[in-house]
Amino acid sequence: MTIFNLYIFDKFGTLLHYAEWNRTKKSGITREEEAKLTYGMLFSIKSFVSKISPHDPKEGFLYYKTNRYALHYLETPSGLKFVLNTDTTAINVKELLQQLYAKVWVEFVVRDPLWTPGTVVTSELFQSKLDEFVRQSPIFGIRNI
Amino acid sequence: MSRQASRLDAKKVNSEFLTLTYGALVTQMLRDFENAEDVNKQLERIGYNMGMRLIEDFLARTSAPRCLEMRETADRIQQAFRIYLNIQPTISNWSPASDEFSLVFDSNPLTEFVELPPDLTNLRYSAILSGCIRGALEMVQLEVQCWFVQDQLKGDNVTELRVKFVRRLEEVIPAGED
Amino acid sequence: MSTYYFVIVGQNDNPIYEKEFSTVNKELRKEDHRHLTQFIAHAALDLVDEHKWKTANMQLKSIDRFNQWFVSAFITASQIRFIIVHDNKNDEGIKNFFNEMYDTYIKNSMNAFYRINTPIKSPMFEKKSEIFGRKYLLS
Repeated sequence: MTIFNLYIFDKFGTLLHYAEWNRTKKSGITREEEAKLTYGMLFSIKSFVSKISPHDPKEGFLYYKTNRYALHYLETPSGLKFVLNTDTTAINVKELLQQLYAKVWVEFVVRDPLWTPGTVVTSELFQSKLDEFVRQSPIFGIRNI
Repeated sequence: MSRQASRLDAKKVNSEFLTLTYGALVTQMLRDFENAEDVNKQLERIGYNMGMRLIEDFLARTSAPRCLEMRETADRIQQAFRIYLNIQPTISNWSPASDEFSLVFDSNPLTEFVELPPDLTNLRYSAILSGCIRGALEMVQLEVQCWFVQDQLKGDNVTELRVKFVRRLEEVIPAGED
Repeated sequence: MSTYYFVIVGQNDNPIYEKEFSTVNKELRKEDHRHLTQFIAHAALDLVDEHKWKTANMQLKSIDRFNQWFVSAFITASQIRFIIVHDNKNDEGIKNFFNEMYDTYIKNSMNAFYRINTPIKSPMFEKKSEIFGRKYLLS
């Protein structure tokens, strides 16, 4: 099990933070371009998923999976979007994202008076705590591809 | 030891400390702006900015889902007051369309000890609260109006805060999408 | 029949609150002692300063006498002086009164709009002093 990368978007689609761990193959486009496409894709999936839902969707889109990786998605009611790419065997990623939101994002970004909402996070403390959090999670594990 | 057991949560502060800090802030602002109306506006803005951050903390703590109607929102606001100020306002006076309600406070930790001087009757001392509600709800796509109907500082029996639903803010569509 | 003149003196020897309690009806009072009691209280300030170093207690008890007048005093840690000029002995009542007024004074100074050493105009304070005066001094 492992974790590849993480995108954090605000409700306007701004990429607030990006981090990667075991990502060996690059997409070949710039970070900005990649983030924009990721956000656009998720936006479309999300709206279409709820449109074709046979019942009133509660949480809507949660994740998708290919044969090499899985993309997990958490959106808070305030419109923050956490996108985590893991390998296909990872479990309980939703809980992990929820924890990441509560223990890392709220603690080290929202409570940082120097951070202006809607801007890219530059806090080194946040970056190191995030790294620590991800590396310590059971999902991160040892790389085995 | 009993002393150890009764020790409070280190992250919580004494309510009197909050009262005095807030009082010092308000009076200093009055001295700086020399105009109660400007102070009201600034307090509201401070509250608004606090609310925008506080909502994230609230959502993380309670992992509350999106509210589907105003009655749910009212309950959440009540819960937030209990978490952050340890007071429980009563929700009442619903409008027939269920888009407007009042939060009634028997006590307000911000105004303990405070007596408003007679020349400051247009000061909304607790404007930070209404700003906070507005800021927090705006982050969850709810535009509301929030104002004081009654205030204990002005001789009323209770402090009443009115919240009115204005509209649901639509989710922003990224550039280049339909 | 008894009369009490209560005054709170600020750090710069300025009176910040004054009140008179009397069992005698205002109209029936033969002579007005106001100027005299104020004078006695003022004269006692030096004695308060002398007494305050002799005890760790905030209650300084009776510190001065002038004709039929006694002077009792109380001093807070921040050197705010409470003085009562009275014409009959009532140590217990005065002690209780001082304690209650100290409490009330602290509550008042917690009000963000009150600035230390300025005259106390709060109606709440006025009401409280009225109640405590009647309870401890005049009963």
